[in-house]
Amino acid sequence: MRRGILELKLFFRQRDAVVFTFALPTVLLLLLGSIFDDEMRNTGVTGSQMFTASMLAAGIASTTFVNLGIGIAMDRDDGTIKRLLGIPMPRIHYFLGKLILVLVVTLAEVVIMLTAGVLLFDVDLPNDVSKWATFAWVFLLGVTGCSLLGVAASSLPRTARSAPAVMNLPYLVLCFISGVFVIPAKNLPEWLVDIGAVFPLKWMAQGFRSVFMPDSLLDHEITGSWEHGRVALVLAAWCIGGLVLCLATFRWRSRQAG
Amino acid sequence: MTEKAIHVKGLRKSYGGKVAVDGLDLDVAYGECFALLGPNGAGKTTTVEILEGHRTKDAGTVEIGPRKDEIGIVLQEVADAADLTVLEMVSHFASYYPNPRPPAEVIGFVDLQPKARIRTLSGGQRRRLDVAIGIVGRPRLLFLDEPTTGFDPQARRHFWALIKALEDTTIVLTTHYLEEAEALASRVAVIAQGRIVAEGDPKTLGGRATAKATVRWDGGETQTDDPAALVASLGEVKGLTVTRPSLEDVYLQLIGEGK
Repeated sequence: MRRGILELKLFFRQRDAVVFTFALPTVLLLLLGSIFDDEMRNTGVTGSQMFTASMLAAGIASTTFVNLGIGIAMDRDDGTIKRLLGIPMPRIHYFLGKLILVLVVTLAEVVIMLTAGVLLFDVDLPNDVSKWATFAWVFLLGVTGCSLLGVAASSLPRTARSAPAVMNLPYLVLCFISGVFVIPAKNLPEWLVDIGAVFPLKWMAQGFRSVFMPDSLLDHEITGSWEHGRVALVLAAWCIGGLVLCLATFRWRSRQAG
Repeated sequence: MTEKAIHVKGLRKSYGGKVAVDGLDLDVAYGECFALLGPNGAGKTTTVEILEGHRTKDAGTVEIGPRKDEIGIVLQEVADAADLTVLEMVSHFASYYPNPRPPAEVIGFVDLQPKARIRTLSGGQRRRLDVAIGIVGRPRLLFLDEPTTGFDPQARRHFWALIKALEDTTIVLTTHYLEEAEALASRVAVIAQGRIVAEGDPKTLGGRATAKATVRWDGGETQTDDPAALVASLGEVKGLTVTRPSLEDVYLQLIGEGK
């Protein structure tokens, strides 16, 4: 808890980072959302509404996967981790601190993006408990899986300076092939969809569309179904796979240190 | 044998075939300030980082007496937590120790402003903050890795006074500054090419105390065992100096031998 409060202080005092963390997905939502303004064929849903639901998943991937990957790479570079390893603190507390940070930032991001969607694109929030229950499990599995992947990916950048570049490229590519930027995802070539389907983002986006979009939109889904079972399965698999990856590859020290 | 704070025997470490520490032995007793002195690349930091637990060793024995919560570490070149205040940072680290010093007291001791943002500190202030974090847990053993690199002379004096005030603490210091080892340490080991090439009291290191003194004056120079007698016999001369080999002379000779 102490570590979590400290992480939050560190994050929120870096004003430019705070602004951009929240702004990037939100600005993408506003810009692309204004382009996809037309109503989708026979659905009563506009492209921007559908985009809001998908973009929610991309926003969560950004605050978990991208932020953790960059944050841990920086901690490794600037001595944060080294200092912590020298004190009698259980190592797990470092991750608990990051977990608290990720949860707070991600929830804030969701609130901001949903507010933007409701105000600007007339997204209807569901008033059905079962839809919110779906939202909760997609959120939890998605945050867990993407966070673990972020922790694992933090070992990829060689230095803190290269971390944003290393983390953002796979993120943007994934957004594209997961059908977040392409509406509807059916317009993507099949082989790209197949690659996207390997990763959690596509399934998280699909899960959120099932929460915020009416079933009339199902025509535009690739399989014509929300596939809740598969969403849960793939996201859960990534939680386990991400954990295994972390355990196998996580390094406390930077590559130069032996 | 009395219990040692640190006992190291036959320590070895290489990086991809390049030997950094090559069969190093050292012992540090409780209460002493021990300096590991050597040029850049001699293996000082590698050795200390192995002692601190930050690096793995390839071979050898390393025994550290104090428990982890009795050890303080002042790292080389850390730049973390720029957006916290000094007090927040020191308090946070204090919270992990069973019997910490009061953070405000430690911050006063290193002469920093509790409310200052870490981002705004100068290099010297930043290192004093590192010392504050290092000592807030009341360590029995404190590691200082090249603590004054890049300091101006005044800041260095100030820093030394700080370290000298930590009387009860066993200190392991690495430095490439001779004056620093001489000012702070009760015992010095000179390290070159990953080995200890000399060890002892900084005043007598390398047979310095017993070496001949050099007497110089305008128009002459002589080496002697009895400079007082020589000076008396000279009468009134200009530009008179009497010198023993400085630690620097001994040191340069020692690290030269290591090569």
